[in-house]
Amino acid sequence: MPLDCETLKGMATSLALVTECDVIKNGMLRLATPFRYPDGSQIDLFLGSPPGLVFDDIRVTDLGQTAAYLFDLQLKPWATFKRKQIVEDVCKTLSVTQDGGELLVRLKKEELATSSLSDAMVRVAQACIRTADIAYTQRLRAPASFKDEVEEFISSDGIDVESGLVVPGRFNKDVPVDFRIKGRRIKSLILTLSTQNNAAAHGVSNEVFRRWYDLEPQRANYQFLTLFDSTNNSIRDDDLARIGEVSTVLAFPAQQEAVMEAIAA
Amino acid sequence: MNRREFEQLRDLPDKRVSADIVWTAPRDGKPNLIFEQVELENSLGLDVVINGTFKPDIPSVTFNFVLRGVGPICRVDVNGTIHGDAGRTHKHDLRRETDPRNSVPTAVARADLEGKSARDVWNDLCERAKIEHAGTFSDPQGGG
Repeated sequence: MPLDCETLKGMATSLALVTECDVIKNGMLRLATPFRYPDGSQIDLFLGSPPGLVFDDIRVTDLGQTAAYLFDLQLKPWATFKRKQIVEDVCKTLSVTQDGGELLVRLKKEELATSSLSDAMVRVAQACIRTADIAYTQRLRAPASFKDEVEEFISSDGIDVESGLVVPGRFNKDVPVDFRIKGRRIKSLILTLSTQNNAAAHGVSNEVFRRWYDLEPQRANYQFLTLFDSTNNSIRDDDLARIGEVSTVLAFPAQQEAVMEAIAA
Repeated sequence: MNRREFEQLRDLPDKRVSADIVWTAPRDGKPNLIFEQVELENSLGLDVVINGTFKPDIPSVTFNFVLRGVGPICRVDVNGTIHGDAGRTHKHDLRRETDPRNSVPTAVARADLEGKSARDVWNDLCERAKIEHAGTFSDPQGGG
């Protein structure tokens, strides 16, 4: 049976396991699947016999793309015993072979026309997903952002937090705010202020000031709160004073209790 | 890092890479060729490194910028995995503070890079991102 896109589409597209098919440089077929890596990109599987191998040794392989995905996150799956063990366990469960950075299943030529192909594709794709999830098992590459920490703190007290919204401001412009919170009597808009970068701190502070200035028409509806990161000293005092002219400025986490009192009011 | 800080770094005119770009083939990573931890010198003092992956069988190349301790902030993929409407050749960059932990999920198409060699993609990237590369670039496809 010829190994080409049209034949494959007939066998696999009807199973919705292939959304696109093309031929790569080494002659293998590249099959885009509906499965996704954590960043949203589609998982590719490659089908065929790599150069130098006998035609009967047909592989369904990720050609190392999952390892490359993790490498982009500064995680080499082969770098620690723990990661190797996770990949080995995944492969064992799914009867998938690990060959260097590749995850693959070998098929006989006669198995192509049977359900073995779709079964192999699903197993390799699942191995890709589970291996890519190593990213979640590590300590987060990024320490939680300041904004995340604030949201976590507020919501841990059972207060509903609306995040990532825009509010109409001056000049017919929508102004992004970090959080909107409804207290017992008062509604609050919150902007967070944090940067590890001293050179950028003044610009970030000016942006907070600009947003409060543009939100002036909303002052009758909300209290304006600026929460700045008290764990570093990158924000200048004069910038905080300026922001204090247009909003209530509180240090977080240093003034946690005051923050909670203000938003629950 | 937020979008504003990212743009400040992106637009900074004095960025420089002094190191050579040399691709290696780690035994446990085959068939990929990689380079890693190439420092992006910048006057903001941000600890940014570049890594890259070249997949010779496809071929496909990725250049990835990582703010150490935070995660990836920008990436160019040529003939890589399909990323929504951006297709196989696209550029990811930081839009939200949470993007690094999700491997910068927002991408825009860069169809103009399709079919280009790793060296040409690198040169294009350096030019657009205002990076002076003072070292050498070893072509992963051979040819020095």
